[in-house]
Amino acid sequence: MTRCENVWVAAEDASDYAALVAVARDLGARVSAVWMGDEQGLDAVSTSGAGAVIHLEGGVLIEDGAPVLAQLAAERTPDALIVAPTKRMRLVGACVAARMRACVISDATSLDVDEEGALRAERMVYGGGAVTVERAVGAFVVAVPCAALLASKAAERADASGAAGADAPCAVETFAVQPGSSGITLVERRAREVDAVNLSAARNIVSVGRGFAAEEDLALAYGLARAVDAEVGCTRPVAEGSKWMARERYIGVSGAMLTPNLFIAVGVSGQVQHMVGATGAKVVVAINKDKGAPVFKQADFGIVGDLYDVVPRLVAELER
Amino acid sequence: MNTVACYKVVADAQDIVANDDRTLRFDKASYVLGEYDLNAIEEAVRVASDTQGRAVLLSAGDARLSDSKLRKAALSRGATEQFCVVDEGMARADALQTAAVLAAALQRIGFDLAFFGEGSADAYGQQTGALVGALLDVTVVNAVSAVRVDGGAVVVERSLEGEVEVLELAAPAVISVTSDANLPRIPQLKDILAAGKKPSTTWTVDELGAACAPCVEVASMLAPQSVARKQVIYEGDVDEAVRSLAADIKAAK
Repeated sequence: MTRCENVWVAAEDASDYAALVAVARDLGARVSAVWMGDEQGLDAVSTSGAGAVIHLEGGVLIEDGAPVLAQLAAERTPDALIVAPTKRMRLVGACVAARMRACVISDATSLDVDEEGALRAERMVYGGGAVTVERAVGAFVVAVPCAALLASKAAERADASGAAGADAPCAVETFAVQPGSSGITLVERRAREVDAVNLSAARNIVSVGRGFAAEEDLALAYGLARAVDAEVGCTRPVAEGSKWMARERYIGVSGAMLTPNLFIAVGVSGQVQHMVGATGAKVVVAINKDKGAPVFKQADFGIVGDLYDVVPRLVAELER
Repeated sequence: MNTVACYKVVADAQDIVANDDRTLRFDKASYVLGEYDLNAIEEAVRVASDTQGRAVLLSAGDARLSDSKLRKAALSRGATEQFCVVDEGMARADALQTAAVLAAALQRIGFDLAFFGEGSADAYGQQTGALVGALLDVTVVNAVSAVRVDGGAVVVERSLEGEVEVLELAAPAVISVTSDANLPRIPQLKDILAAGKKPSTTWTVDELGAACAPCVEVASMLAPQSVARKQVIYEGDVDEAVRSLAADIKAAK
């Protein structure tokens, strides 16, 4: 890739466009927004700062629009497509990439253009155990910024625009989508019960590891969280292995780039795949009975002791 | 229904050693089946068995794929046969190159449903299944947490960020399952012994005519930048330690 001048952005939620446009503009690109949703969303998308809107209309599922979008990309040869980090948009992005004989750079923690004009991204691999710099070397690439990158752009933009409000509406081109062209028929759609926790916005975090022997013992962690006004998160085995907590609460590569003031790791061994989530914490505290646990090397303060003994005493002391 | 489960052999992330200059050493690493791929294998085997079909396995990688322990680890999970695309270049292949190879192999094998995990355990780009389906121009869906085959109809549940979709898929289809889709079995000794007798076919990328140009190159791979921490650790008298730590926490709050 030797240039990044013409970039398309796409999301399923109209409110993601301002940040996506900002990400694309930072690359120095002209930006076109691709919108595959309803008319109401179209108004928001056309005032998001993009230079033009490509509206794909008529699909039952957003996925129905993927073949039309891929065809348009093949005809108009944008340099990149940047999509919001949702599961649906990852699929759409991959469908466009396949048509363009390209791949997807997923969950980029940063995106820029290198000296040769190629799109360059940093991302985590091996569950946070390593960081790669990846460069697009083909004529086209799809990139997915990580949620934290998008959130930081949204915040920047909100600060900058202040009371100025939305941009003037831009030109909209509309293309028809054949419903059902994805081969997928929607039978039913229902809301999913999600644990509405937002760890990236939490001022303090108590993180729970496998040092807890039983689910009911998590009450200790919640008690500590109350005492320090913290949200509770966990390691991946606690969320996926024991299923004691919702996946939204697991701290690791996908939820990386947390920036709490205080991060208290309780019964956490300190594997890099979890602790990568604490990198941005101002102060890290560890409680673990194993003196040799790697978590102590990554902590500012800690106690070597049984959490079942230490945590209740600590809560009492904090509440004194 | 005849199913294929795709899997990747990866370095165990826990065995990767970071040097002081942040470069990484893989020489102590053991190689394993990608943990998310176990869900793909389990689902392919279950669906085939429920529908009187056949489940086979497909992987692409370097010579490690031919390691008999890794072959048995894959074939001990219920599939009847295995296909491997072995090529030294696969270790550096990007997702498109990998997808092109898998798509060509799937075309040769033939399938009603092809299963992938939610992402590879190393790069976790969550795109290979989607790329393969799109390259083959068949129905493709990700984030699938349940699969039901009713007569000829394939109905799946898809868990998105805020909603669950129930979708009917036109076969053939490529499906990426989440780790909630099932609980992968733990193979028993007899399964591992039987796995050694199952057929295994090896192809090269050239034999499949599936070579394509790279799209993304990895310019560097380093350990994450570590943050210097104070490492003030209290031991011994618990009351005193707790008092000290509480004071530190209050100061930080």
